[in-house]
This record gives sequence, C-alpha cells and structure tokens, in this order.
Amino acid sequence: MNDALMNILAHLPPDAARTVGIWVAAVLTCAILSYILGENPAFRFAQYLFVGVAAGYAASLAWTSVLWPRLRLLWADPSTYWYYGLFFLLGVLLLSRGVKSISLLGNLPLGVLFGVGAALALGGALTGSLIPQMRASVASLSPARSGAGSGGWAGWVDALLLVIGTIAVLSAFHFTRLGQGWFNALWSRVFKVLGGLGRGLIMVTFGAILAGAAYSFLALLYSRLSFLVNDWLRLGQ
Amino acid sequence: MRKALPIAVAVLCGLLALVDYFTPNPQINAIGARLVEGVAILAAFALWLGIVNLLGVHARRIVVGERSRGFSAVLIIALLATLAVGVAAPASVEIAWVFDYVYYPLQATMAALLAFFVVSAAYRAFKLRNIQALILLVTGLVVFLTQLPFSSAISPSLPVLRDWILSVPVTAGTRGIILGVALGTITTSLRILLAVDHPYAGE
Amino acid sequence: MIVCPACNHHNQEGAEVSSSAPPPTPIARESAIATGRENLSTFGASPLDGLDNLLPIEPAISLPHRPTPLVSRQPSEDEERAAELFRRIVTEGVPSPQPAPVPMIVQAKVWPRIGRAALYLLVLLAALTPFFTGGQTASWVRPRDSIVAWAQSLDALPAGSAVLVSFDYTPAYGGEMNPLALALARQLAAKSVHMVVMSTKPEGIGLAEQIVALIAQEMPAYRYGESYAILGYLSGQEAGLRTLNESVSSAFRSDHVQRRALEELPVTKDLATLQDVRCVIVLADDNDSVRRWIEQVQSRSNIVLDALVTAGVEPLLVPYYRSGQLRHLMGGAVGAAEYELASHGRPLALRLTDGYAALFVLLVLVALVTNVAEVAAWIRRRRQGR
Repeated sequence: MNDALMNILAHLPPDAARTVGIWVAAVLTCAILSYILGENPAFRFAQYLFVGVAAGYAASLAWTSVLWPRLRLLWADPSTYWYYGLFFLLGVLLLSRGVKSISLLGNLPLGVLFGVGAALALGGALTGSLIPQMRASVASLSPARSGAGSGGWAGWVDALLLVIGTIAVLSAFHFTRLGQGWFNALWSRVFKVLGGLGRGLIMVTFGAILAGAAYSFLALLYSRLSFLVNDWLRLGQ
Repeated sequence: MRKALPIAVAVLCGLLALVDYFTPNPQINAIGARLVEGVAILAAFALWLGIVNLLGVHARRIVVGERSRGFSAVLIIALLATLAVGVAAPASVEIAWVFDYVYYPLQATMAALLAFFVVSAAYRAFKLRNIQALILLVTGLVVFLTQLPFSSAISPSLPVLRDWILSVPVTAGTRGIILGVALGTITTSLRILLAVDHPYAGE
Repeated sequence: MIVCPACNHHNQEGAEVSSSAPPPTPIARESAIATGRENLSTFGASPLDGLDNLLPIEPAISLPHRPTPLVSRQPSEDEERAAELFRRIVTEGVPSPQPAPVPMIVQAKVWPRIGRAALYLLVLLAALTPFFTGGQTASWVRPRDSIVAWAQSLDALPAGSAVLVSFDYTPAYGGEMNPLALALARQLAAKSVHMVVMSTKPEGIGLAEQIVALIAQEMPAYRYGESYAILGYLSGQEAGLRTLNESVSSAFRSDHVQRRALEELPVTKDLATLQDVRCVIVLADDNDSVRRWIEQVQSRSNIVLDALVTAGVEPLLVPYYRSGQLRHLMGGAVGAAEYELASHGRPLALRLTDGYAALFVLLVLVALVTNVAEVAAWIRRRRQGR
C-alpha cells in the first residue's frame, strides 16, 4: 500500500501540489463569497475550518518560536536560564484555568501578566503617547517653526486650529456636570461649545477612516477576484 | 490568602517593571529584563490556554450531540492537523502549503466581503438626518476624491487639500482620541498597580 | 324567638347544645338547610359554645338565610335605549369611515432585497473594472513628494546594512499590503540591503515567508542567512517589544527557518540591539501594533521607525507622524501604487486605480440615491399626513 502510494506520488507532475492548492483555495474562496447570498453550509464549513487552521497555526508558532527554543536552553544550561523554569512552571499553572476545579491556581501567573502588562502600558502611554503628543501640540505654536511670510502665518494658524481642535475633542468626552454659580455656568457653556466642535472633528476623522477603509476593502476584493480569474480560471493569461 | 497572594505578586511585579522602565540602574534593569522576557513566555502559554479552551468547547459539542457537532469535528481535525504539521515541520513546504492555500484564502476572502458591506453601510450612514451625518458624508467623499492616486491630474489643489485635511482636522481629532486613550490607560494601569482593581484574583 | 332581619324567619332562641348528640349526616345537614331552619345542635359543637347571648346577633349571621327575592320592575326609557344600542353594537359592528389600508408586505420584502442585490452587483463591477479597462488611469498617477523622498532614502542605504522589517498584518489585509511589502522587499534586495524579518502576530510569519520566497525566486543571489533571515514570532505584545528593545537575542533565541542561534547566522551575528539596524519598518493593519512599537521601542531608543499601514488606519497614526515619532507614514492601498512608481517596481497596485475611480463614482451614486429616497419618503409622509 505504502509502495503504491509512493509510486503515485513520484509520478505526479512537479507542480501538482500547487495545482491542488489552487483548486482548494478557489473552492474555499467561493464558499466564503457565497455568504453574499446568505448563510449556508458551505460558508459555515469554511468558517469552522478557518478557526481550526488559524488556532493550530498560532499554537504551533507559539511552541516553535517561543517555548521550544527556551526549553532547549533551559535543558542545556540550567544555571544561566534557571528563570525560564520558573516561568514555565507559572505557564503550566496558567493552563489550569481551563479546568474549573483547579482554575484558582491560574490566578498567580495571571497576576504576573496583569501587573507587568499594566506597568508597561502605563510607562508606554506616558512616555510614548501623552507627553510627546502634548509637546508636539504646544511646540507647533512656536513662531520659529512656522517661518516667515504669509506661508508662515498660514502654518501658525493651522497649528492654532490644531490645538483648539485637540482641546475640543477632549471636551467632547467631558461628561461631568459642574456645580452652581455664574463661573460654573460659564464653564459649562464653554465645554458645550467646544464639545460640539469636538464631535464635529471626530466625525471628520470617521469620514477619513471610512474613505480609507473603502479603498482597503476594494483592494482586498480585487485581490481575491484576481486570484480566481488569473490563477484559477487562467482567463487573464 | 487565595486573593492576597496573586494581588501581592501582581503589585510587586508591576512595581518592579515600572521602576525598571524609568530607572537606568543595571541590577534593576537585569531583573526587569528577565521579568519581561518571562511575561512573553507566559503570553505564549496564554495562547495555548485559549487553544485548550477552544478544543474543550467543541469536544463538548460533539459528545453532547449538538446540531453543529459536524462542524465542530471539522474545527478540531483542522486544528490538530495544522498543529501537528507546524510543530513537526516548522518553516517547511508542508506548513507553507497549508498557509498559502487554506489559511490565506479563507481570511483574505472573509475580509473581501467587507467591500460589499461597507458600501451597504454607506447607504445608511450617508442619509442626511443631522449635521453630523452631513460632516461624515462630505468628509468621506472629499477625502476619497483627494486620495485617488491620480487626483493631481484632476486638479493640483486636491493633493494640497488632502494634506491639509489630514494635517489639521484629522490630526486634531485623532490626537484628542490618542490623549484620551493614554489618560485612560494610565488610570486603569494605576488602579491595577495599586490593587484597587484585581480582575485576575476572582473565581 | 329571634327574627332574622334578612329573611324574616324565626330562629330558635336559647336552643341548647347536646354534647351527646350524634354528628349530623350529610343528608340530615342538607335537609336542615333546605328548610331554611336550623338547629345548632344538628351540626354538633360550635366554637361559640357556652357563649350564648354574648352576641345576640350571632344566630342572625351564623344561620343560613333564604336569598331575598328580586322585585321585578319596568326599565325606564333611557335604559331601554341604552340596551338597544348595546345590542346593535354587539350584533352589527361599527362601520369604518374609510377603507382599511392594504398592507404593502410584498413591496417591503422585495424592494430592499432588489436594492441590496443591485448594490452588491455594482460593488462587484467596481472591483472588476480594472480587468476591463486595463489601467487607463494608471498613467495619470504621480507619486507624492513624501513617497519619493522615502523611496530615495531606501535607495541611499548602503549595501550590507541591515533593516528590520516587521510583518504585523494579517492575511485579511494581504490583498492591500502584499503589493507594498513586495515592492519594499524588491527595492531592499536590489540594493543588497540585509532584511531581518519578524512579526508580532503569528500569521505575519506566513506572510513574510510568502514575500521572501518570491524574492528568493527572483534573485537567487539573495540567500537566507547571508542576505536575509526570519527571526520568527514575538509573543507578549508590549512585553515582547520591550525585550526586543533590550536585546534582539533575548527576544529571539533562534531563527525561524534553520533553528540556529542568531550569533551563528552571518546576517544577524552583529545584531545585538535595535541600534544596529538602520531603520525599523513596520507593516501593520491596525494602529495598536504601530502604537506599541512607538511606545515600547521608539520612545525608549530613538530608532528610526517607518510605518506602512492600511488606508483605513493611516488617519489614526497621522499625529505620531506629525510629532516626528514616525519618520514616514504611508497608507497601503493608494500609497502602494505611488511607491511602485517611485521605486520603479512592477505595477501590481497600479492596476487597481481604475477600480478606485469606479468605487468613487459608486459612493457618490449611493449618497445621491439614499438622500433622494429619503426626500421622497418625507414628501410621501407629509402628503399622507394631510
């Protein structure tokens, strides 16, 4: 049986794998595109197949790229890489979250994940986003940056609009009601006006994102149609 | 003790990582580097936890005899087969075949369906019911027009208009969102580091 | 004798209860009730035994009474009219002032379906336009100055220098990003610049393998291990990037293809930290991936970071570009066409320009139709309201 199979495989044309692959890809592509006509068993089959393949692929890469090389190092040189052992143990405890009766054991590694993740997120948000963006907003108002002449003035006005717009967008997310008094009433009025401007700017941003997304999706659809027409049906060749 | 230990470990590791982030001390940096590399290992285990959970859910469907058990069987077989090939022969022709002719077409075509749905959504979104819808419609069409690769052939002002729209109103909008998200991230992270919130310590 | 005020019958007064009296049979009970007269002793001991005369009204409320006979009388004229009207309402029904509206069920089901099918067909036609027109508008494309400048900066990279390329997009956006990635890889390979490839997403490795396999076919001299290497998948998001920023060999203990330590490969043996690469180029389909690179890597080590992203994500990263944290930012769909021209690459994305033009016409059409339909519906509602 094995000999017969090997014989068949040996006599296959060299690009047989590619030909079979193209047919498999074409059938799966058509199964997914059939969703336009409505939910159907072919689409569901393709959907479940995708989830299985995606999960298997990610799991295999997690093993081959992350875990196995470190396990080999721990085995080869435990005195240097002893801390890998500790984290592998925590990782095994994390897997216990899948079993209800012992899921509490997974809280310890989860704590490590959350703690370190929170610290990195805090540091990154502060030094990578908050401070540089605020600095860029303020620095853009510097006349030295804008230059001389009418072009310089236009640049400065743009920078001013940018700062006002940024404050307006932040005001759009302000939901606290201020107290009584003429000062608080004035601030409420200011927040209301700025918030309205901010919401308008957010809609401008969404419009830009929508336009970009339309470009993206057309490119994706063209790519699949191009595969069906050129690679599968070979109509373009 | 059940709750206190994970909370204490989370706070300790978090503060250590935070000190490492802002301090150039070599000893602290060395410990922090190992801690952060260890978290990358835990992240890989977390991915495996998700896989185990997925297998459990679908295996239960087969055992119980639900209507979708056939599809669940397809999922499990596909997962185990891909995992076996990926582990036994990483970066090989076999796993590349699975990726090129199964994984890629499936995910790429699912995203390609969005081309139909985005135009369908635009039909609803472009109804001029209020001023915000008007802004969305005008901005969407203007940005689309100015972003056409040959917009400079239509009018030399279109690329300039595109740059201005992206540089001023869009930047103002997204910068405000980035600042808001950064402030929210800092607040949430501080709550975890100060043990005010501990979602990991529950049942 | 006590007279019952309800039925004017006489009840026995002072009747004594005999404790030796047998319990009453059901027949005896019923006959006693039927005659309307009842002796307390017939039903045996009562809760009120021994409490005679405490509640003189007790026999009146405890003994059964004959119902009061109805006194018949003639209805009044108003009552007769009301009864007649009630009879007619019940038997005849209320005539409706206008005919009942015919429900538009058939139209409500059919028109949205036809409209949606027409819309989907138009989208399909827009995507198929490049097949029919053959790229009529491609000759009008002029790359922007920023894209030309970036292509020139890559051209200026010395042969043998290293660039880190991170494939942080998924196959979902492969149709948009692959032409961009291929043009980038071709330009780097043509200049003999070393490409060190990685990904923070598992599926990015498969995409990277696709692109470098094509380059290796086109340029056999561009060899694995000597000219390029795939480091592999970096897990942990922020934690992984933080580790990479500290030391490349801590983040990747071996390469993805040959499973060797980075020190053993010629292309990566001198790669201790990210300072040893000329620049980092991130290809991404979401803004979070690029934001993590900026927060965990660029802000810490001040490396040169370029981002090539999908067209929908580009607006979200413009502030980072304006603040100088990103040296270059390019949207995939449109930017790919301009970059192919600027780098003198093969026209893959350029073919799609006719499709973009068709889609723009379709969107304008959609905006017109939806608002005309809305105005027509409003006019119809106002007429019905009158």
